[in-house]
Amino acid sequence: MLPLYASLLGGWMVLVLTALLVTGGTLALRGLLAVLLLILCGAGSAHFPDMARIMTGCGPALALCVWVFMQRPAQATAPRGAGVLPFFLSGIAALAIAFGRCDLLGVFLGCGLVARLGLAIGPRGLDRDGWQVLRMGLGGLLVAQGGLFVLQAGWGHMQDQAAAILLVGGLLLACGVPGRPGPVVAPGWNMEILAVLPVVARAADVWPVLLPVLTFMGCVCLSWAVLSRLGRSFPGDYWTGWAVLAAGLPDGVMGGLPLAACLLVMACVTPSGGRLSGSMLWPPSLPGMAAVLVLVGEMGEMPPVALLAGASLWPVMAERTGAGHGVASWAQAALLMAIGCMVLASAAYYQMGGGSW
Amino acid sequence: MLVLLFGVLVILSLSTSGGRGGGPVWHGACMAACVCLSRWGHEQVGLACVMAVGLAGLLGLLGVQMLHIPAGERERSGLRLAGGLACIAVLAQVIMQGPQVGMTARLMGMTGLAATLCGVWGACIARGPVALCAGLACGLDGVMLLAARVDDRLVMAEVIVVAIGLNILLAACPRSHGGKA
Repeated sequence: MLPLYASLLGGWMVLVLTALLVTGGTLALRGLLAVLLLILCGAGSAHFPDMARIMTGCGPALALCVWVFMQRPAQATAPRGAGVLPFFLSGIAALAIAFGRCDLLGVFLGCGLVARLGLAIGPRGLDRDGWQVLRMGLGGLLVAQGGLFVLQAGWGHMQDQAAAILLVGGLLLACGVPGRPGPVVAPGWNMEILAVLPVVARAADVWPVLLPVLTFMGCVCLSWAVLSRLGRSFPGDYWTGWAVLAAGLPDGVMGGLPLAACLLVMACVTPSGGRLSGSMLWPPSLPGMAAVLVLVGEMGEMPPVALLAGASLWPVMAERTGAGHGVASWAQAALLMAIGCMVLASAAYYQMGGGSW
Repeated sequence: MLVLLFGVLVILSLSTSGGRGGGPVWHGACMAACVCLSRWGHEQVGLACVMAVGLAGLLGLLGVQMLHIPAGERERSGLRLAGGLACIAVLAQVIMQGPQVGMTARLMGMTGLAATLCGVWGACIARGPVALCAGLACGLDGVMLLAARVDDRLVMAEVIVVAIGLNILLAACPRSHGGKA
C-alpha cells in the first residue's frame, strides 16, 4: 500500500513540475492538479481507523487547494518558479505524512529547503532572505537530527528530555515557526508544519517524553506570537502555537481531534487574505474553538462544548461579510464554515459512535 | 600524558579555528580521525570511514573557499567560540569518570552533540555568509559523529550532500564583498 501511494505521489509531483513549467499554469490546470492531490491524499489515508487522522493526512492537499483558489491576481506576476513551489512543498509534505517516520523528516524537509534555496539564488549568489532561510532551515535540521540520535540512544530520562527539547525545537526552527523574519509570509509557509506535527505527535507514542516538551514549545510559540507582533498580527502564528499545544495532548478520549482541527484551520489561513484583526485573539473566535476543543479533549465533556465551538465560528463569518472583497472572501468564509462544521460533525459522530472509527 | 595531549588539542583548536579557513579543516580532520579510530577499534573499517574522510575533504574545500572571502573579526570570534566549546566538552567528558562500558561511545555522542549545538549556535549569531557556512560545517561534523556512532548510512549520505551544497553556495557567493551581506 505504502509503496504504491508513495510512487503515485511522486508521479503527481513530476506531472506537476512538467505541466506547470511547460504551460505556465492556468487557473484551471492548477485547480485540477490541486484537487487531484486532494483525492490522492484522501484515498491514501482512507485506511486509517479514525476520522482525525484522515483529516490530518489531507492537510497539505487542502492547504494547496486553498492557496490555488484564493490566489490574488497580483500574485500572478511572480516568477514562474514561485508558483510551482507550493505544489512541490505540498507533495513533499504528503509524502512525509505517508511515511510518518521521524528520521525521514530530515530528508523531506531538506528537499523543501533545497527548493526554497533554489528560488532564492540569484546572479550574485543567495540574497539576504536566502541566507536567512539557509540559517534557520539547516540549523534546525542539524539540531533536530542530533536530538533524534540521542533520543534513539536511550541514555536515560534526563538526557531523553534534553533530546526531546532539541528534536521539537529543531523541527520547529526548520519550519520557520518562532523566528520568521518580518511580516512578509511566503507562499507555502504552512506546508512543513502541516507535515511535521502529525509525525511528531505519532512519534510521541514511542517516546512519551515528547508530550510535555510539545506543550512547552506550544506555549513558547504562542507567547512569541503575542509578544513579537502586537501591531501586525498574522493568524497563522497563533494557530501554529495552538497546533503544537494540541499535538502535546495525551492520546485520550479525543484521539487526534484537537490536532486535526488546528491543522485544518492552519491549512485555511492564507498569507494574503487571512489578516483578521484583534478579534482572532479572543476566546469567542477561532482560537477559542481550538481552546475549547483542547479542553474537551482534557475533560471528555463533548456535546455542550461542541455547540459552543460551533457558535464561536460565527464572528469569522460576520467579519468576512463585513470586509466585502467580493467572491474570494465569501469563498474563504464558506470554506472556513464548512471545515468547522466538518470538525464538529466528526466530533459528534465520534462521540456517538464511541470512538469506533 | 592524556591530559597533556588534550591540552595541546584544545590549544590547537582555539588557535586554529579562529583563523581564516583553518577551523573547518581542523574540525573535519578531528572528526574523520575519531570515526576511523572508532571503526578500527571495532574492526569494521568500511564505508563509514570513506564517508567520513570524504566529508573532511569537502569541508577542507570549504575552508579553501573561505580563504578567498574576507571575514570580519566578529565572525572569527564566533568560530573560535564554537571550536573551543566543542573541545571543552570533550575534556569535561574525559575528566568525568563514568562507567567504563560504552564510555567511548558516549563520549563520541556527547562530542557530536556539543559540536552540533555549538556550530548551529555560531551560525545563528553569525552575520556574514562565511561564518554561517563555517558554523553549519561544524554542525555537520557533529551530526557525522553521531551518525557514525549508530552506523546510520542514510544520515551520513545526507551530510555529504549538504556539504556539497554548502560548497556550491559558497562558490556562488561574490568574491569582492562577501562578509557584508
